[in-house]
Amino acid sequence: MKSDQPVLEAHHLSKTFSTRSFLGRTTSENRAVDDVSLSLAAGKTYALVGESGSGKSTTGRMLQGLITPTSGHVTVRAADGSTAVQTTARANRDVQMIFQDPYSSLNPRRRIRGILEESLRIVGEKDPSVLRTKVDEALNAVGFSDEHAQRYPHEFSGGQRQRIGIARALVVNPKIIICDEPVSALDVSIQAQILNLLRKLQADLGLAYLFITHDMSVVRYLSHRVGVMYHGRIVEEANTPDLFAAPQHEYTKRLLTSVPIHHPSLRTSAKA
Amino acid sequence: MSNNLLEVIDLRTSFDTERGNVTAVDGVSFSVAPGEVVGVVGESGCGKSVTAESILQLLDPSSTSYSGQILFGGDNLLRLSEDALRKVRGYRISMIFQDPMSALNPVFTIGDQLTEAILAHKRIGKRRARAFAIELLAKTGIPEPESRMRQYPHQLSGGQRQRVMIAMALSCDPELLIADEPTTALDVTTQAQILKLLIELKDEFDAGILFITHDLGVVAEICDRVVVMYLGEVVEYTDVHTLFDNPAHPYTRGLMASTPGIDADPEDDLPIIPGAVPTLHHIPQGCRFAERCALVLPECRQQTIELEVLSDDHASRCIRSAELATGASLSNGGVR
Ligand SMILES: Nc1ncnc2c1ncn2[C@@H]1O[C@H](COP(=O)(O)OP(=O)(O)O)[C@@H](O)[C@H]1O
Ligand SMILES: Nc1ncnc2c1ncn2[C@@H]1O[C@H](COP(=O)(O)OP(=O)(O)O)[C@@H](O)[C@H]1O
Ligand code: SF4
Ligand SMILES: [Mg+2]
Ligand SMILES: [Mg+2]
Repeated sequence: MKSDQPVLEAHHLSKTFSTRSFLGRTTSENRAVDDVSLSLAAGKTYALVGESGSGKSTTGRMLQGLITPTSGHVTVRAADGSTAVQTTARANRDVQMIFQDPYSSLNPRRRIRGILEESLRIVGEKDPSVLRTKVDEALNAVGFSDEHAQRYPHEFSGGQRQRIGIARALVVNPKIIICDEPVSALDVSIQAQILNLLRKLQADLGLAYLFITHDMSVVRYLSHRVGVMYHGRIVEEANTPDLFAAPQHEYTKRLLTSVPIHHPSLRTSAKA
Repeated sequence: MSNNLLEVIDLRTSFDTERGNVTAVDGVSFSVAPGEVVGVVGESGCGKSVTAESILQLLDPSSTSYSGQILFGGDNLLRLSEDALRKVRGYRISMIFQDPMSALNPVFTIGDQLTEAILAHKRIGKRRARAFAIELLAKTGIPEPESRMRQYPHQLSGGQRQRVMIAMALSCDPELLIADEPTTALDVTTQAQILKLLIELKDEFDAGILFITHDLGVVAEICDRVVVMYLGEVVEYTDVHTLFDNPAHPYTRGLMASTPGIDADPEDDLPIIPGAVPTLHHIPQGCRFAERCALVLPECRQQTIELEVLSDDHASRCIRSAELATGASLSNGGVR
């Protein structure tokens, strides 16, 4: 497989939501995502940034096949080099997702092992010994032991739950992981643990990440390429160092000047 | 110390829980001077919100007990009657929260709520109260304040709601504003505007601010002095410049290092603080931070560690503070 070929491409994706008013008399249309094209490469991270409501999560869900685009399509390249074209919502084991709040997506009544096995069953894996080995591998990859596998989600801290979310995505051997604000709710100390883990997994497994975030210091540290979303559109896209060195769009400039300073001596007189 | 606006001395806040009594804030002391912004930082679960809520005793009285002193305007707030305390809350001390929705009533307009808040402590007529409400909204930078008055909370964006909360908090011209993670849920661009607004208004109203945050970037932006909390205790306090130039506690150093700065090398792992804040049922013996500390020595676990005063306005709860404060690098400053 040629490494410079994208593993996933989004072509002119748009999504319009119709919302019905109170009593359902009128409907209004909200173009949440408007003509978004992007491509993800193996072993690389594409950061998607923008204010809340700009369409980042909706874009991520279309890439994962969780929702059907109003127009446009997604192509995912399989291991044999063939490409699958997706125009409707359809789960693809090559594309997995991790969320800001993994807890809400973890079944509280199942042990961790059961939760991970469920992910494998969904993609058709039945052999108990394969299930056991794959779950052990995924848990091991995120730094968990068999003892953790026997516990329930509520017994874990926020950072540990995010590890479980990552293990659940990894267990089916995906090529692409959509990370929807996976560290936004975590303390910086714990955030660093998760970012290091994601980077290590990328290096070991050649994963492509779409990394949705609003934290520009995380973007700079982790991503190779950045797309800036504003009102449903990607208004600027660049390699990460270039975006920070020479932002073009007004919104990108505003975003960069809004990043909190890292030392009090950098306060401007207006702020001090 | 008598020119302080607020002085918290040896505050202890405990809860009765099904699993026994737990102490969330354990001997915390700090002060806020007029016009000063004092930051309280630490990971979630370290007792920042309980500290803030203890000042106004907002916690469920049936399961909460307090000890120590909270000196404000010559009174110990912990000794005041409920009636007297009500005259402090929302009159002389206001509070804003991470989630303004929780403090706004969804069925009343912004105008009604703001006007009512003003009428509650100003002897003016309804007409003038409305005019004052519009003036306050305008001060917070909300576009078209007059039409906002007729809107309901759900019709506003998160940032606009936080501005309304700030207008509400300032309507009584408070001496002290307690802000508990007021920008944590907001976009960075909105956060930057709100921080700027708070600074401007602080100067205009000449109030002190107790600013709770887990974000050191926010601390760098607006705080004058900083209290670092870990598991219910103050582990370090100092002025903001010393905190960033010469942090003395391994926990403070760990928090700073794990924030990816502009100089973070994408080729390297980020320094981390291993593990997580334990629950109040599992408070370690000796230094509470020992199980996560890269510089731990056997004696750290064998004794209660006291806050050690390093200089005039700098103290750290660590037996190795003196070595650390001199800037000794100690194998990467105590960070893994
Ligand atoms: N299921 C849905 N139904 C209706 N509107 C939606 C739905 N999901 C998202 N939206 C709307 O689409 C827009 C983009 O949302 P989202 O993709 O979640 O933004 P972001 O992740 O950038 O915050 C918002 O206006 C949001 O209200
Ligand atoms: N009402 C309560 N009953 C029992 N424990 C509580 C209560 N409120 C908070 N706590 C505990 O007190 C500790 C500190 O909480 P908090 O002040 O909210 O932390 P922070 O604001 O720093 O994130 C946590 O361990 C929390 O679980
Ligand atoms: S007292 Fe010991 S364990 Fe605690 S912070 Fe200092 S060096 Fe670390
Ligand atoms: Mg989102
Ligand atoms: Mg809190």
